[in-house]
Amino acid sequence: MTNPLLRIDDLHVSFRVGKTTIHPVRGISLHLNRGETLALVGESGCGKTTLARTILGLQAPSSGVIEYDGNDIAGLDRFRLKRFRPHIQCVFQDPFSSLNPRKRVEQLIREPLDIHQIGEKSTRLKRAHEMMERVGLPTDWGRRFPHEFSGGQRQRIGIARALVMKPDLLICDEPVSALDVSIQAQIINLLWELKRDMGLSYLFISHDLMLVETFADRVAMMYKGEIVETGPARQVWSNPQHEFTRRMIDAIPVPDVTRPTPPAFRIDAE
Amino acid sequence: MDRVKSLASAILRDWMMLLGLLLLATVFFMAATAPFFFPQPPDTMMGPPLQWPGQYPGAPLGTDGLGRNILAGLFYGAQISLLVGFASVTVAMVFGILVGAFAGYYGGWIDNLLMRVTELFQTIPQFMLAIVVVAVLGPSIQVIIFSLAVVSWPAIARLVRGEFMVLREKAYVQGCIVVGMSDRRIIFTQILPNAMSGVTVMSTIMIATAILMESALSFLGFGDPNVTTWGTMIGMGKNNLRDAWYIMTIPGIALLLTALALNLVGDGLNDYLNPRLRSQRGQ
Repeated sequence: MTNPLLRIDDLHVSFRVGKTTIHPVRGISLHLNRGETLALVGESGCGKTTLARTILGLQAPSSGVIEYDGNDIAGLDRFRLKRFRPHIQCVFQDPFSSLNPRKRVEQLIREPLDIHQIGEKSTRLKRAHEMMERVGLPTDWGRRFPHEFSGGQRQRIGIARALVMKPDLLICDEPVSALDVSIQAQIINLLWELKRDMGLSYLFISHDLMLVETFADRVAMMYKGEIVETGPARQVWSNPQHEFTRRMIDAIPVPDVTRPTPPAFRIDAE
Repeated sequence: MDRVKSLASAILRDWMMLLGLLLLATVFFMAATAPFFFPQPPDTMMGPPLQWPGQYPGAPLGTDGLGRNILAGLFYGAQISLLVGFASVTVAMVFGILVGAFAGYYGGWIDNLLMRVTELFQTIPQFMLAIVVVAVLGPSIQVIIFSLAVVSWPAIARLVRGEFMVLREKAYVQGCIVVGMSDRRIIFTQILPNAMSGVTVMSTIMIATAILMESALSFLGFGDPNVTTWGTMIGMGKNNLRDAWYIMTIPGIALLLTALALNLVGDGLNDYLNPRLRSQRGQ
């Protein structure tokens, strides 16, 4: 546990949009231990997704260190980054745009194995099917296309595709915020089981504090491109140090059974 | 098989597309059976000159000023029209897709460079450019195909570039980068298949344009002198416009119907491939 799986030190990201330069990540330092779930919490536009994209190599950092298992991967070219690809994978927020509509599900899940030439050609399909079962999809749905699935099922496909290479670190960018509540719980349970069984570490990006409290070991509060507070979820919740954290916590709706139900929601029996 | 079935049912529901396909099938039939129905080359004298349609049994659609069978000319001309149309658009598509895909995918200076070159071609009037190419390289079918490809690729390149710029930001493309896929594989196996619907529709219409341009070139005397095309037939007929207008009109109608057929098919494909219209139909 001495060596963190992921260590980020003083990371800055800026890029030009038209004529103005924006600076969404301003000097972030954080670490993620092996087997840990670190939740990154912040309002929309605070730079969470940019940070995730930078770790995944989709966005070049302007300065700083991203160390994966002791290797600096910040700003590596795509050829050298390819070696680290199987270790860090991600699940996207929108299950509708994150799967190529023209590929069959089993092809989608198999693709990463083909690219990295993992296993024999003949066994790759079998592994894709195993992965489908693992995330709770019947294997005989493998010949279908993504549009034949619901949002929750698509997110399962996305998870299967991300995990088929057996990565160590899974970056989940709001994986359930596009799903309805009953499905959210199923996907979270699945992620929790997978973490237990496959020894994964999660960087879990979210703005849902209630979800984070149950799911994450530690939270990092992000505000305007900086980490303002980190610590175990319960500790941060019970004793928030930063103004932003306090505001977020105050905004959590508290279910109160003693309050009378508003008339509009009451269903009369007869 | 499902895709074939759904396309077939879409065609049957869309009578305009069905009409277009039937017309197009007729043209293909004419091209394929020309040597069977008319063993003699279309430029041989088959009967007395200037016979009106129905007047001379050997030539149901009449003969021109040199006694050539107009119906035979129509059949052989269909071969040239289809060959020139499909071949030039195929060449233009290969080149246009490559240029557009790389410009749209990479952006930056590659995009700038490729698009400036594309614009260079687009600023020259298409037909003028085609004439110049044929005039410089000499009139032959190959040169005509090449010249029409040269004038039609920029439109495809621009369309493909636009599609690529949109699609490359899609999460599934980003996901492929994260998985470690090579650029080439992303361009050709992930983005291109999703960008093809617009290109397919455009190419059908472009075949029609190419066929019309080939006829115009032939009409002006820039056609291949060794083959009979609808354009040459119209060109020859203009000398007899006042006394035998059918010589010009009959190949003109053939040209009109072929271009119409391709446009109808293009519109039908557009409706079928446009996902928004498709969901309105409840598919």
